Parts: sequence; structure tokens; C-alpha cells
Amino acid sequence: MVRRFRGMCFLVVLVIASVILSSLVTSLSYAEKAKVTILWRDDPDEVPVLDEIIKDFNSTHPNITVEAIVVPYDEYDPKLFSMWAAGTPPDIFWCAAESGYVDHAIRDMNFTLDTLVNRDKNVINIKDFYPAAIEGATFRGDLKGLPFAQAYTAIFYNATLFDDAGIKYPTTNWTDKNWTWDKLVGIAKKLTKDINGDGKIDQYGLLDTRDLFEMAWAWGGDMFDPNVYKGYPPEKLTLDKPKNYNALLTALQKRVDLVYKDKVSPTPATQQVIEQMGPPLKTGRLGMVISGDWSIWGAMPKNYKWGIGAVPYSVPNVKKVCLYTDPLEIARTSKHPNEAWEFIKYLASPSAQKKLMEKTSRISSRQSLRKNYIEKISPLMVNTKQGLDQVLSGAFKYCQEDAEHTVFGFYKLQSVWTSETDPLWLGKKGVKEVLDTMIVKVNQAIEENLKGIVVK
Amino acid sequence: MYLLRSRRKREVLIKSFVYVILMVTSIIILIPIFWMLSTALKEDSEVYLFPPEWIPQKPQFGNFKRALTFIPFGRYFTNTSVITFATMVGSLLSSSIVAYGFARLRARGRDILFMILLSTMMIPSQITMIPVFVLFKLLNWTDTFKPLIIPNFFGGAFFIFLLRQFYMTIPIELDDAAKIDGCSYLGIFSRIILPLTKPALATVAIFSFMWSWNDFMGPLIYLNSRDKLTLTLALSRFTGMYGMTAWNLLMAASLVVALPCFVLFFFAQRYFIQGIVVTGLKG
Amino acid sequence: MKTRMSPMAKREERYFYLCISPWIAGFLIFTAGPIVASLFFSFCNYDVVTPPDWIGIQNYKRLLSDPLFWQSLKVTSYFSLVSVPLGIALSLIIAILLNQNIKGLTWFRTIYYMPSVISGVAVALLWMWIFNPEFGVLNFLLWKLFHIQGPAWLMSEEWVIPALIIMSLWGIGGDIVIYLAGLQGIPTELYEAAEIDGANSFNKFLNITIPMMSPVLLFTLIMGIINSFQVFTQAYVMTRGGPHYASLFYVLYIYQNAFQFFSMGYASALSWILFLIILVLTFLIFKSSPLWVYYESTRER
Repeated sequence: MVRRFRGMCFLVVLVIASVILSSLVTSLSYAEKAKVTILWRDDPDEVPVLDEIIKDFNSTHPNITVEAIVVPYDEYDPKLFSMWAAGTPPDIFWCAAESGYVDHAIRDMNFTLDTLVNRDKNVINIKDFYPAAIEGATFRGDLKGLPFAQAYTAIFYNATLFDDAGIKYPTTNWTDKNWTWDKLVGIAKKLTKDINGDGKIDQYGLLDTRDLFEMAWAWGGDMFDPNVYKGYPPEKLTLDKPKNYNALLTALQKRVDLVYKDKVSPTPATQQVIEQMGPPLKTGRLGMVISGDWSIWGAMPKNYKWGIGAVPYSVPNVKKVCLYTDPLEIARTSKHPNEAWEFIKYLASPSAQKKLMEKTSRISSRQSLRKNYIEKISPLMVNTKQGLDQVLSGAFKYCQEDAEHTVFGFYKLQSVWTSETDPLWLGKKGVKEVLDTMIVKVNQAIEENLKGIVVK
Repeated sequence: MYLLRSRRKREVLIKSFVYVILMVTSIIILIPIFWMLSTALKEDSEVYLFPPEWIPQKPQFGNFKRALTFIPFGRYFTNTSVITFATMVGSLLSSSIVAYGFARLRARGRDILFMILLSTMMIPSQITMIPVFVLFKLLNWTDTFKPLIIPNFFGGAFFIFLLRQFYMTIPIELDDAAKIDGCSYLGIFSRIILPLTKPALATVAIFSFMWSWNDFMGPLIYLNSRDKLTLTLALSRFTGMYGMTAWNLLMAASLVVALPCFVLFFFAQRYFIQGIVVTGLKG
Repeated sequence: MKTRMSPMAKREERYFYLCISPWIAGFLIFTAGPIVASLFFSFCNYDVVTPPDWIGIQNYKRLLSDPLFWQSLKVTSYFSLVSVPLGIALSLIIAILLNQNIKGLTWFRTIYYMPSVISGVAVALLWMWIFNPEFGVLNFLLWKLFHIQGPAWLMSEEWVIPALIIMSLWGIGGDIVIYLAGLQGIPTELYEAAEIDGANSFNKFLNITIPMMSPVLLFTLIMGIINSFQVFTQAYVMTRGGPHYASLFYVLYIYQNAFQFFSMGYASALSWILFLIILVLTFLIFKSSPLWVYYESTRER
């Protein structure tokens, strides 16, 4: 009996011991080189180019090894926070997912880069970057990241559908006073059709994908105080001011009208189907989309011609659209901040930026490379090169950085207003009722965000 | 004579009824899988067609090759296989022994310990994810397969609970008889319990294989190096931002990745259809 | 304390602890620490990147007055209450059908198991297609076969949970496998004996199958409750909790707080409440189990 007991003891001990032993033999790293990790967002186009750029960098910088950790968009923040909590943050990261660089800065997660930019001013040449992109990486006056790319807002359209309907293309001139919202809706109506004659609309004129804060901007209002966009936490929505309130109220009504009154936009159900397949424009069943330039990312179907136009005036003399900048940040607790900076500098250099633009659909943050972008996309577009240049310069002039990046705790506020406006888009409730509850709920969320700031 | 005929008639009726139900539910289950296959065979531009089509114009079988060459399939396949196989062995070894203790042996504190075992499953893994990661960092296990494999050698609560329930369906008299014959606890475990619960052990093997094979969050959090990733993580390579997803390739790759699980299940089935059940209850 | 333990009982106890020692070791090394850590965080203001700040029971207080906490609890209970019994019944029936001696069984079993194998995002996206009110195959079939105008499913506050329940029933293959393994353990002599006594199929099912399967049913019931209270992926990928919070599952709300709202402390408090709820339910089921679970191995102590 005792022997058998020992036998069993032995078995159990063996299993445990083998486990512990194998764990003790941990690989020792001989760190002669500085290893810099960069946390990147998974993308079929971007990742191969990034790999190429890293390879070039590593071969020209013998003392530094850059390694990319690639995770899907949805898991970017969980991965970032896990690595952070374990004391091994990625040296380089950015606001690739829900949290913005301001969220990072308020929690002291990133370095201020001004000194480094000044030190290397000849290489960096900060003047070459779009001022709005630099503004979109600035926190209370400090530069917190160096943009490597950004997305711009414009109207993207299917020119073939315009030709078929015999309509003129949208203007590329952002300051054309005649280019108004009503005109846009008018064109959209002409583009909306029931092609197969089954009584159901299957070609839509317009899809406006702008978020609530952008709608408020377009209609001459604002949901936040100007200081909020500089990195100071919001204390409440500024929708208690009649001007702002009315702007958003009108904007929401106009958006609902697109679906239910003018019937030029798809219903939420149709929109879901369209968006699941890819950028809506690519289905060929949509005349115009107001969105970031991701509408024309990737391969565009060859059986259509495409174009880019200026966003119209919703109210006279007001024009502000969104810019989505991707600024690379250096982790505050990085062991190799200087080496990380070397790589960021390299990625922002004209040669690396050219490569990135050749192989992906992104536009560089360097103004001097705009002509390369135009060269690249103009074969796809019906616009002239001058037209493209005009539309791009407007898109970078009449813009402000995405509130998701610049407003503290934005994602929570956005998820509240997205949920609260659901009944509106589904046609279940009226605009005023929805807006009034939404304001209360968002203000509560703002308060919770403020309480969530951990006192150090 | 008449009785026999009517009985056979009834049997045929019941059997056809069973067939109809099985057929209908199978079709319902297969519709989504058919859709996956149809998407996997679509041309790139066809994927965007609106309204969507059910059967692709020209099936693109090349999509499977494209999908598999887009990711380092061989390397990831090896990684996933190593992790999965080790996990399966670990789960079977440890869970079967631990479950034996909980099911068959009486001891003070057993019920409390069992409740603790169950309660470890009640805290959502999302909330312990970061502390667990910190722990593995302290052990210096991050960016290795260890966090994905080694904990399984200490028994998984789900499997322990499952096996315990199965062990408890075996009559205790068998243990007593064996004891009288001079069998030790180890002997009872290996000669009575294990042979009688083969279907349950096969279930544990299949489940642990499948979960480990399809695990997403684990490899995502613990692994960094690109050459150490697993197949499930590679699937996300096809999904880009803003609807840039390559649907056809994603579906093609998903089907290929699921294939080993199908095959395993198909062949492991014989453990469920052994037919003869030896229970020793007779007499 | 009862009387002194006999040497035999002592030996049995020693073997018990020996057998379960791997799990105890694993629990102490890998599980206990993180669980205690999350308990600690639930009393802190904690955003993951800044060291936690002790705030006492404030997180728990906030929870009581948080309408979204109650909403998520409601949504999850509804889902759990319907999907668990339905899933158990359906998979038991199919398992019994699959346990018959008919042709093509191997294929049928594999088909039923298929959905459990293809997991993750691909499945969720697939179902979004199926449920789409305008182009989805479900409403198409409802119209063609029954002339019913289907609801808006995922875009309707009333129908989003039923839709997710239907989807969960698609994945019952795992339970079927467990039941099949259980059915194999029932001695055929029992059925033969019952047949001699003139029992019909229903009698046999009620008096043999159910009691003999009850330990396995207990398992699927408890795991069903634990898992249904922790539903996450479907809601995260398909509905993001919408429309208008109608599918805000509990763990989705936890996840949002933990990784998107920088409120890991609050998320931890939510988790511990969830833990307590499941624990109480499990405890009650176990307490009631002597009434309906039949163990061949039960004996007097």
C-alpha cells in the first residue's frame, strides 16, 4: 500500500517538477542592441510596408532593433494597457483604437517631443507637416506625437452614376458659396433610383457618415468648449447655449430627413449590409459619401469612375470638417526613448513616407508629398490634378482634429450618444426628445470621467 | 405475425421521422456554413456586390491558395499544433486525476474546495486578464508558449467538473469490489474509472483541442513576436480598418483553420459509438 | 466534529488531497493572485495605467444607482433564462436522436458539431447577414414559407435578444457531444429490462434516460448559467450593446468600463457582483440537486 502511495506521489511530483524546471530555463537575453518595440494596428496593406521600412531601418542602424507587434484594431487598447500594466510598454504606440493621445497625455503615458523636434529640426522640418496635423498632436501646447499619416474628410463620389444621370460633378472649391446642403440633397435625389423596378430603392444618392460633433461643427455649433480640444477635460456639453443646441438640432433633423423624408440615404438596415461588405462607395450603388478618405482606400472596382469634391456649406460662412491624424507617441516608461525617436524620425522622413504612400492608400502628413499623392490617385479619378490639389488644400485648411483624439474620455461620451441616438436613426423617436435626453446622459458620463481621473 | 409487422411498421415510421428532423436541422445548421463557402469562392469585386449573391459567378478556388500564402501558414500551423497538442495532453492528465479525487474520495473540506473550483469560472476572464498577464511577466513567461500550455497541466475547472460528473455515474460498488480484491486507489482509477469513461475523456480531448486551437485572447495578450503567433491571430490579418476586410480570403482562411477540428471530431467519434457498454451491473 | 476518523478514512483523505494537489497548486500559482487583485481593484479608482487609488466601497455604491448596471443585468438574465433551458432541451433531444442506430450518423454528428468549431468573428459577421431585416436570409425564408413579415432583429429593441438566442442555439454542438458521451454510459440492460416490463419510449426516457443523465444535466445546467452570464463576443462584434442598450450584456458593460472607459476599478466591482450572483445561483442548484440528480456513487458517509 505504502509503495503504491509513493508511486502516485511520484507521478504527481513528476508532473509538477517538469513544469517548474522548464520554466526555470528561461531564455537569457543578451541585450547589446537596444530593442525598440512598436505596437501597430493590423491591416492587410499597412503591415507589409511597415515591415519593409523596419527592415531598412534595422540594416542602417546597427545598434537598434525595431520590432513590430501587430494586433487587430479591436484589441489594440487591451494589448497596450496589458503591456503597460506589466511594466513592459511598447516603446512606440499611437491612438490607433478608442483612446486618444489626450487620454494618454493626461495619464502621463507619452513624452513631450518638442525638444527632440527642435534638436533635429533640419531633418524633421516641422513646417513641412500640415499645421492641422501638428495641432492634432498637441496637448496643452506640447507636441505629444509625430504624425505619420492622417485621413481627411471630403465628398467621395461615383462619377459614373453622375454621368448616367447627366449631372455635373460636385465642385472642388471649398469656398464656393453656391455649394450648399440643399444643392447636395437635390443632386442626391437625382442619383437615387430603383434600378430593377421592383418598387424598392437600390441606388442611393448620399451617405453622410459624420459623427455628432462634426455635424454640430458643420451647422455652426459646437458640443465642446474650445479649450476642451486643447486637452482640458470637458466639464459639460456646451449644448446649453442656444446657438450650439440649435445647430445640432437642425443637423440631426437634416440627417433624419435624408433617410425618411428625402429618401436619398439608406436605412440603418441597408447601411449595415452595405458597410459590412466594405467601403460603401465600392458597392457602386451609392452616389456620394461624406466621410474620411477611407472610402477610397484599397483597390477600387474598375467598372466605375470616381471623384472627390468639397463638402458643401450647411449654413453660410461656416465650414469645418474632421481630420484624423495618426501621431506616433513614445512611451513615458520606455527604456529606449532616444532609439524610439530615431525610428519615428525615420518613419516620418520623406523617403519612408513615399514608400508608405506608394504601397498603401494613406496620405502623408508632409505637405511636400501632396503632389506624389495626387500623382498616385489621379488615374482613378475624374478630377483634374489641379482639382485634386484644390480639394485637398481645402480639406486640410477647413478642418479640425478628430474629437476622438483630442477630447478627454471621448469614447465613453461617444458610446453614450451613439446609444441614445439609436431610436432616432431607426425612426422611432423625434429629434428634440432624443437630443434632450442625450444631453443629460452625456453630461453624466462627463462627470463620471472626471471622477475617474486617478489622483496621484 | 400481425404484431411483428405493426411493430416493424412503427419502427420504420419512427426512423423516417428521426431522419426528417435530423435532415431539417442539419440544413439549418449548414446554411451559414454554405454562405461562408460561397463568400470564400467569390472574386474580390464580387464581394462588394449589392444586393449580395448566393452563388459566385465563377468560383475562385485560387482564393484558398491566396489566403494561405498571405500569412506564414506553415509556421503558424506548427505553432498552433504544438500549443494545442501540449494543452490537450496536460488537460487530460491533470483533470482526470483531480476529478477522480473530487468524485470518489471522501475528505473534510472537499465540498468547499469543489465550490472554490467552480467559482474560479465565475469571474469574467476579461477582468483577470491584466493581473494574469502581469503574473506571467513576473515569471518571465511572456512571448513564449508557456502561459498557453503550462497552466493546463494543473487542471482546468471546466474539465474537472465535467469528468467528476461522469465519474459519479459509475456505481460505487465497483470501487468497493476492487478494494476487496486488493486494488489501490491508483488501481481503481486506472482499471475501472478511466476505461469506463472513455467517451467523457474523448470529450475532454476534443474540447481542449478545439478551445486551444481557436483561442484568440490568450495568444494575443501573451505573444508578441511575429514568428510565434497562431492561426487564429493570423485570421485577423484579413480584417482591416474601415471595412477594408478581404471577406473572401477571411472566409477561405477561416474554413481552412477549422478543418483540423472537423477531421479530429470526425475520427474521434468512434469513442461515442462504442456500442457495448461494460458496466458490471449485470447479475 | 464527529468522532475520530478511522485510519481508512484518513488514508482516503490523504489520497484525496494528493489527487487534487495539481489543481490546488495551479490555483495558488495562477488563479488566486489575479482574483484577489481584481477584488482589490474593485475598491480602487483604477485606470490600468496609473497606480490604483483606494476609494473604499464607492464603486459598489455607484453601481446601485447606475441605470446601465440594472439594464445589463436585465438583458443578461433574460438571455440566460430563455437560452439555457431551451439549449439543454434541444441538445438533449438531438443527442438522443443521434444515439439511434441509423445510417449516416457520423456525418450528422459532424454537421451538428461544425458551428462550435468555426468560432469567433467570422460567425458573428455571418449572422449579421442572416438577421439583416432587408436582405437577410431569415426574413426571406419567413416571407417565402409563411408569408410573415420578419422583424428587424438586431436593429429592434424587442427582437435583438431573441435573435441572439437563436444564434446561441446554432452552437449547441458542444452540449450534444457531452450528452452523447453521457448516453453511452447508460447500460443497455436497463432499457431491455424496462421493455420486458412493457415500458414505452416515453416511460423509458423519463425513468431511465433522465435519471441516468442527471449528473451530466447538472453539469450542462451550471455551465450554461455560468457561460450565459458571461456572453460577450456576439454582443461586442454584432451589436455593440445596441440598439439603445437593448443588448448591453453584463460582460460587455464590464469590458467597456475596463478597456474603453478607463474604469478598471468599476469594472472589477461589476465583476464581483456578477460573481456573487452566479455563485448564489450555483449554490442553490447544488442544494436542490439531491432532489433531482441521481448519482450511482452516492453513499452514506
